[in-house]
Formats: sequence, structure tokens, C-alpha cells
Amino acid sequence: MNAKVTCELCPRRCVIPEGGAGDCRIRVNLDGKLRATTYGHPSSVHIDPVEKKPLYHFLPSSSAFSIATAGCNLHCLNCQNWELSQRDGSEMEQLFHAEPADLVAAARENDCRSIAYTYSDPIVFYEYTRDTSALAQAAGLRNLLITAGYINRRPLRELCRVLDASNTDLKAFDDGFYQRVTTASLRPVLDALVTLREEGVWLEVTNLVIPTLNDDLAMIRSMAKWIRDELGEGTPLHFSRFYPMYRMRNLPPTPADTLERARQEALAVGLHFVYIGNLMGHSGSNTYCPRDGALLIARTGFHITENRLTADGRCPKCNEKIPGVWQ
Amino acid sequence: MKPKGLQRNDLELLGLVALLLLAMGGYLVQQLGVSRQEGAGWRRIDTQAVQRLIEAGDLSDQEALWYHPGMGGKQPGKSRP
Repeated sequence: MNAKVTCELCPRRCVIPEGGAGDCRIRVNLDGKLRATTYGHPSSVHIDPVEKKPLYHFLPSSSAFSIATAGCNLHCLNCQNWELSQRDGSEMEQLFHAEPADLVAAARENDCRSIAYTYSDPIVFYEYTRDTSALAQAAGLRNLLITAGYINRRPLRELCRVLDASNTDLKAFDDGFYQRVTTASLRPVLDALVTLREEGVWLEVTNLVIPTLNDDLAMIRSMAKWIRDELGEGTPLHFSRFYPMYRMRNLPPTPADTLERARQEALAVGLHFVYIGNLMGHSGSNTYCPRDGALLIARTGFHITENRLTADGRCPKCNEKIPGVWQ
Repeated sequence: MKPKGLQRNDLELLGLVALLLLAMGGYLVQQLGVSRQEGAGWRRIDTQAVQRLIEAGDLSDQEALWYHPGMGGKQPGKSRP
């Protein structure tokens, strides 16, 4: 008998026959039960500055204990972590064994203030993320979900109970782009962004700008307006520089002036915190006060070179409250 | 003038061209297959390798959340948790 199961975690809703895996490669139907095969077996473990996620308004300069397992429910042609994300557990060279309690202990031993579920997409190792987050929360650590946001609403709402912050990709404001470049679709990602906001998870959004594919200024303007209207003008938006990767090596890195124009467009629409990332030493990675324009946080790469915010996250000149989680 | 028949060299060249076309066609079909598989709903993986790794403790048989037996749309009440 071939006992199929239907996975309801992400919008793909894979119907998986016995012995098969979901589109993510790691949720496997064994004997009619769906198994989370990478639970407790990360393949990537690092300590990163939180700015690398990127999260610019969340515990600046702190370290995030960062983990990922194999697998992903997107298949982006430009994936920068494809050796991790586009493989199943049996194809990994490295498989560590770390139960949720081990991760929490390791994060604390290494003076990390948070655990980041990142690199591939934590949605596919949902159970591991959820259980670790619950323990981490009880131990006073914060939980960061770094994701493409391709998840159904109910599981996301459940997960939000133990999350503190998320950087979610909004890869383009165009469903055609999502289908061609990522094999996913736009609507569920927008729903996920709204859900994260509704559930009170601190949210920052990243848009990787790829020359000729999603760098149209009219589309960027529409995206910025949507973020302003649905997520709020205080939502940080990161325009990140593309570098040729994986199956998309035919395009050049994003020119700096394309990123600068995108940033200007989003600021003009009314977003208060628009950043340029993956471009070393650019002033667009600094935080400025939206009221008086004063420099608040200066960054070089993932490092903070100056932080003038008051302890409770205000501009020292005009006392404007800057949205974020500062302590 | 009588038209000349194909020479041996011409036949060899034609054969080579046909082989090249066949190889290119095969590659394209294979790549299209990869594209079709991605996002197609489920994947074949080396389940025996996965099971061996589970038995060795290198992967897990932890039951997943958010699934239900059978196929089709949402079945309220059967999703976990």
C-alpha cells in the first residue's frame, strides 16, 4: 500500500508518496508518516554579528548563534547557499548532532544573545526551529527567523509565539519573477510579512536587486508603497547587492547607482529606514534620524563603528523614538 | 552535368553533426526535466541512504508537524498540531 501524505507547512502543499520527499527534500514520507529528517542535525553552525542577517534595528553589535540544516522550499537560480539548500540530508558532507538543548547551551557559552535560524530556510526545518526557540526563549535568548517567508499562515502564526525578530526576503514585487527565478509565488510571501507584523515579531525586509530582473524603479516604488501601507513606514528595508551565483552567473553584480536609485525611490515613498547592503563602506548602510537627519548608527560591513542612539533607542538631538529592539 | 553522390567524407561529417545534435538534444531534455521536477510537489530522493543515516543516528525520524494522511486540499482538524 502506498500511503501518501499531504504536507501543509508551505504553500506547495506537496502530496508525497511513501519513500518520497517534499519539494524541500528533507521532509520525507517513511511508512506513511512524514519525518523531519534533519531535526537535531544542522549542517551549518556559526556565530555571526546580528548585522549579517541583516537586522539593523535589533540588539546592535550582538552575536547570533546561527544554524541551518539542508533543504529549502525555494530553488532560486541565484542561491548563495545552494550547497546547503539544494540538497537533502543524505547528500551533506557535514551532519552535526545537536538537540535543541545543546544549541541553547552553546549559544549561552558563546555569549550570544540570540539564535538565528538562517542560511537555507528555517521553514523547512520548522520543528527543530520551534522546539529550539521555545527552549531559547525560556533561557532568555531571542529567536531570529531569516527566511524567504514561503509558509502557510497557520504554521507561521504558531511559530511567531516563540519568535522575536525576522528578516524576510521580498525578492521582487512581481509574481512572474517569483515563478521564474525562485519557483515560488508572491502572494504567500506578502501574507507572511503581514502575519509577522500582526504577531508583533520585529520585522526587517530584504530585497536583493538583480540587474535587469527586478531593478525596475516603478516596481521598486510599488513595493515600497506596499511596505509603507501594510507593514508601516518604520519597517527597515534593505536593498542588497547581487553577485553572480549558482545558476545565475550570466549577470553582473548590481551597480552601486542602481542600489542608490532604489534607496532614493523608497525614501521618497515615505519609508524611514532604507539601507544598502553587500556594498562595503557605503553611507547607505548607516541609520539616520528620520526627523532631523542626524547620523545615529554608522556601519562598515557588519560592524558598527559608531552608535549615538540613546539607551532607549532615541535620537540624541531631537529625542525621536527609533523603532527597533535596542536592549 | 551529373550530380555527384555523397562522398565517404561527407557521410562522416553528417554522422558527426547528427551525433552532436543528439547529444545537445539529450542535454536540453535532461535540463528541462530538472526544471520540471523543481516545484513539482514532491521529489525522489535516495530513501535508502536516508534510512541508513537515520539508523546510524546521523539523521532523524522525528515526526513532522503540519501534515495529514492522504491527498487533496486542506482537511481541517487533521493538520498537526
